This record gives sequence, C-alpha cells and structure tokens, in this order.
Amino acid sequence: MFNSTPSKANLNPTRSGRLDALRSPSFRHCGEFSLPAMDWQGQKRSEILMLISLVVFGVVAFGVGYAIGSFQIMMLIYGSGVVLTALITVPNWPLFNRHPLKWLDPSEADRHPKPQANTATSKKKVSKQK
Amino acid sequence: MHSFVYRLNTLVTFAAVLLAMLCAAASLLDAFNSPTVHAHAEVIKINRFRKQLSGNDEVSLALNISMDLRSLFTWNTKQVFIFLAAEYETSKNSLNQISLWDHIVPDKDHAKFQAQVANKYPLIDQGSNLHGKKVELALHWHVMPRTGRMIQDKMAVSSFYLPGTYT
Repeated sequence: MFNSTPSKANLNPTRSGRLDALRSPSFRHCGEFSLPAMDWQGQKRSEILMLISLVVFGVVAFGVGYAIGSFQIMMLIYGSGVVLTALITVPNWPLFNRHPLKWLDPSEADRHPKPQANTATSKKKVSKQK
Repeated sequence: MHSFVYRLNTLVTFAAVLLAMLCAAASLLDAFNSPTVHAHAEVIKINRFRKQLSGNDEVSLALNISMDLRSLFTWNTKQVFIFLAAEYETSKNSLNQISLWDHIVPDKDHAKFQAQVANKYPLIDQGSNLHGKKVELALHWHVMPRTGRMIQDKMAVSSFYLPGTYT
C-alpha cells in the first residue's frame, strides 16, 4: 500500500551506507521533478487519516440524514467532509514531514560510478581480451 | 502516496465509491417502508359519448378524486407520479388501459387532496366497443426516488357502466 523505509539488510552490504540513497525510487527521478515533500511516515499517516476520515464522515452523514429525514443534509455533510479531508491530507503539510530522510548530495553521487555501468565495462574487457 | 496528484486521485476515487455506497444504502432502506394509501375516485357524470369521424368511440367524463398518499413519502422520495387508468375488456383485447388523468405530487404536504376534474385525456377506444361496457377505474402511483429503484403500485377504486347509446 505504501513504500516502506529502505533497510540496509536489503541492499548490497559491501557498498557504504551513504550510497543506499542511490537505490531509492525517488532518486531516479531526481532530475525530472522535485523530491517528495512527505516522508514515509507522513505518507502512511496521511493515507490512514484519509481513509478513516472519509468513512467516518460517510457514516455520520448517513446517520444524521436518516435521523432528520433530509437527503440534502446528508449530501451537505458528506460533501463538506470530503473537502475537509482533502484539505488536511492531500497537500504537503510540514506535520507529515517530521522524519525526513537525508538524501545524498548529487555532487557527491557523481564521484561514485553506478554499479550497472561497472559490470558492463568489465564484461566488455573480458570479451576483448579473448 | 508520494505526490500531491497521487493522493488527490486516491481521495477522489475513494470518496466516489463511498458516495455510491451511501446512495445504495439509502435506496435499500426504502424497501422497509410499508405504505397505506387511501384513495377514491368516481365518475360524477358522463359529459359526452360520441363516435369520432375515424370510427372510434370517445368519452368525456367528470371525475371526483380524493386521496391520501402521505405514507408513500420517505426521505429518499423526490416525487410521486399518479395517474387514473380506465380498464375494460373487448373481444379483440383482454385488457385495454387508458390514462384519464395524471398528476405529480412533489412532497408530503401536497399528498392529501380532493379534486373534481374533467378527464385530462379523452377515453378513446380502438373501434366502437364501448356501448354498455363496464369500465373499471384504477389509481396507479410511481414513487420516484432521489437515488435507487422506482417503486410502482396500483389500487382499484371504482367502476361504472357506459350508456348503451351515444349522447
């Protein structure tokens, strides 16, 4: 449902810990658009809050509408609930960014070549020698 | 959930699904409403009974209609459409139904009334089979909801005989 925090155990243990950031899915898009402004914990909180808030507003809207006997009131409560939920959970509020991950500086990353490039060049060298 | 657009998409989709569930629940509760309708309609006078140029019989009536439809209305009712149908049998058709008068009841406050009206739509037969015919009047109602299934029902109210000769 949501991306989990990348753990060191999943990645190549011979590489230094700072290079783990290179394998994050967001790093590949670094040059295309901005990095996400919500951290992993924030995304999880935002999604759970969104689902629960919408369901609660739906139930409350139905209950109040049925009790009063007004279909219009039900639609009004639910509509305003959807708008309120959107305002709270969709934008990148700072409260969803309390545990930011420190990404590697792009200039630092340039000094270390990517692992795929190394294996390709080593294979080429082997074939040329033959 | 990693971008604004992604979260917005999730929210809109889930909100739409919940809205569909709310409407389905509202419609489902309508099934538990057991209404009791009181209605009566009778022919006061037969104004005209003639034969048209095309050869079909035509009848014009004066009707006295009274009804109480308040129990049909729930929180999910948009309006109730009612019509009075004249039913009779001929040698060609086992059931002929002609709508004589209809009305839209928008809410519960207008659901109880009494009226003396001439029929809105003339009773025209296919042919000339109406001499001395027994015609039954039935009140039909369609309860149109705000969301969900339309409920329709009917009730026989009275019957009358048409005269044997043209008037």
